[in-house]
Amino acid sequence: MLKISKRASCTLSQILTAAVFVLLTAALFLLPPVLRFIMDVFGKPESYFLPTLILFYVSLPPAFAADISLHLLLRNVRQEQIFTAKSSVYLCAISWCCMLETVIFFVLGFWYLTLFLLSFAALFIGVILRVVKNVIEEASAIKAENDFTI
Amino acid sequence: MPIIVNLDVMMAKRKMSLNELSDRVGITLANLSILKNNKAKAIRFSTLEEICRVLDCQPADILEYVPGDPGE
Repeated sequence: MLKISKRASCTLSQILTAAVFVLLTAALFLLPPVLRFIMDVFGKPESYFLPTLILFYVSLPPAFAADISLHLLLRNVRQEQIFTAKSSVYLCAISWCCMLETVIFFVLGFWYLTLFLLSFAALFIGVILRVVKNVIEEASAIKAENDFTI
Repeated sequence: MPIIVNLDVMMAKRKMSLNELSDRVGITLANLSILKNNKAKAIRFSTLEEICRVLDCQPADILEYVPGDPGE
């Protein structure tokens, strides 16, 4: 199994986060033609196009917000400031973005049944991140206690 | 916080500066400042023992309990 250093691992995560940002930015412009193509392939009626496009565009801001929060969280990791209040805030933000995506994909699921699965996946990730945020908060409190023990 | 550290009172009585106390106790000036300014959350018995030995005093001379809000 390939073993990589912590620093390299963090760099890889930052690269992936940046790649996601680029993909999301591309989606801003490419969404209409891609969606048109997918609807033609699956034979969906024309009346589905506009509501689907609107909902996908509505899902982009939370995705951007989550990606930016991930970038800021990784910056904290790089600066070895992981157990801080800011890290909890970033994790909470990502969790809420996932919850928002849950709602959006749930609504889309009434047009495309498989998106119910995506909605559930977003909900599951949001709940996991919420628990991780609680863990980081406790760890931050323990660290603060330790730092201020003379 | 209900526990007040009256380190400066005992330091004045013994005519000892923060630098000298830091050197003799063996903790950093930064940590001693944290203790003196009531920002510390806990103190090790070993540190308390050393401070009392250097300042020739009892723990009660430098630690005082003031009833306050439980959330503080």
